[in-house]
Amino acid sequence: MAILSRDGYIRLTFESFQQLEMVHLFSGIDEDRPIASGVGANSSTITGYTEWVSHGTPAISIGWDWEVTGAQGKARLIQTGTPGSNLMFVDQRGQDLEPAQTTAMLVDWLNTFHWQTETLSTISR
Amino acid sequence: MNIISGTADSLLGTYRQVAAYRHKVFVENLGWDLHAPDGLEQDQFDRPDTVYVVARDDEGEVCGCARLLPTTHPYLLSEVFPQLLNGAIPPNSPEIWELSRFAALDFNSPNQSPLRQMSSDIAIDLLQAAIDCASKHGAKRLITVSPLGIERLLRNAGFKAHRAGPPIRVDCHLIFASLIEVGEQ
Repeated sequence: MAILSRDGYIRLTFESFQQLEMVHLFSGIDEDRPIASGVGANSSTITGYTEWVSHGTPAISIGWDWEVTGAQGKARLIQTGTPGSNLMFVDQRGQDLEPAQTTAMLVDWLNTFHWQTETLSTISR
Repeated sequence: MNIISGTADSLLGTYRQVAAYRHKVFVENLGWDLHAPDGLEQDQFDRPDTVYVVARDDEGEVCGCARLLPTTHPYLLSEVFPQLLNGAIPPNSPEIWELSRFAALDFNSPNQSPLRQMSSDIAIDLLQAAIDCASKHGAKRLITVSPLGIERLLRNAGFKAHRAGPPIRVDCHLIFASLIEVGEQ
């Protein structure tokens, strides 16, 4: 069961979190960052963000950055940096895992589904 | 660059420079829809007890600012954006202060960052100064309403911060509430 704590964290076990459905909230392209051109006519980098939430209130909020790599005309999104969230995973005794551990588990989690599909669809509109 | 802090009264003429700077950043540069007559940006949270942290360049021009408010009185998040708190009651504690109107853009710098609200180096120093200032006033945590891009800055600079809830879109800008730990960073 998810609990909203006074410090703003939602605390739950990773196993409980995996049972929840996270839905796409926003995705967009960074307008404030320069677009870095790589070496070669076909290489360029576009960066952006994507935001996902759980249903209901309090909602779990997770967001991460991505970049597009486009070689030979095929766009591919890869996650970059560290995700931001209001999550603190706890162990079976209810003890907090370290923030770094929570973050690492979130990175593993976001690699288990094709968030890129929704993000690409949104930014392509 | 030097950084000073104080109330509007104690800052004397610098306060007016801060209001003009805020107008330049938030109204002119970012296009925020704020009531800001006479080229000065002020709102109902600019009170006698409000604390400002101000960065000035070597010529004495304001190049960064932050506003600190105790959550024991009305503040931006509680009055205007409580929906950012994910259903929680806005904090009301002398140990939690709100950081708002944070900007670190040096208009005199020839190397302006493409980020329209801040230069990373000034921002990090200013944020640390704001944290230190809040700590001197008894804060153990800061709460902020910020554009989503600030989260990246906080993470990359190593500040201990996390979201208070999902971001929302306001006038084409994505904003969110963040909690920043005061103390050991």
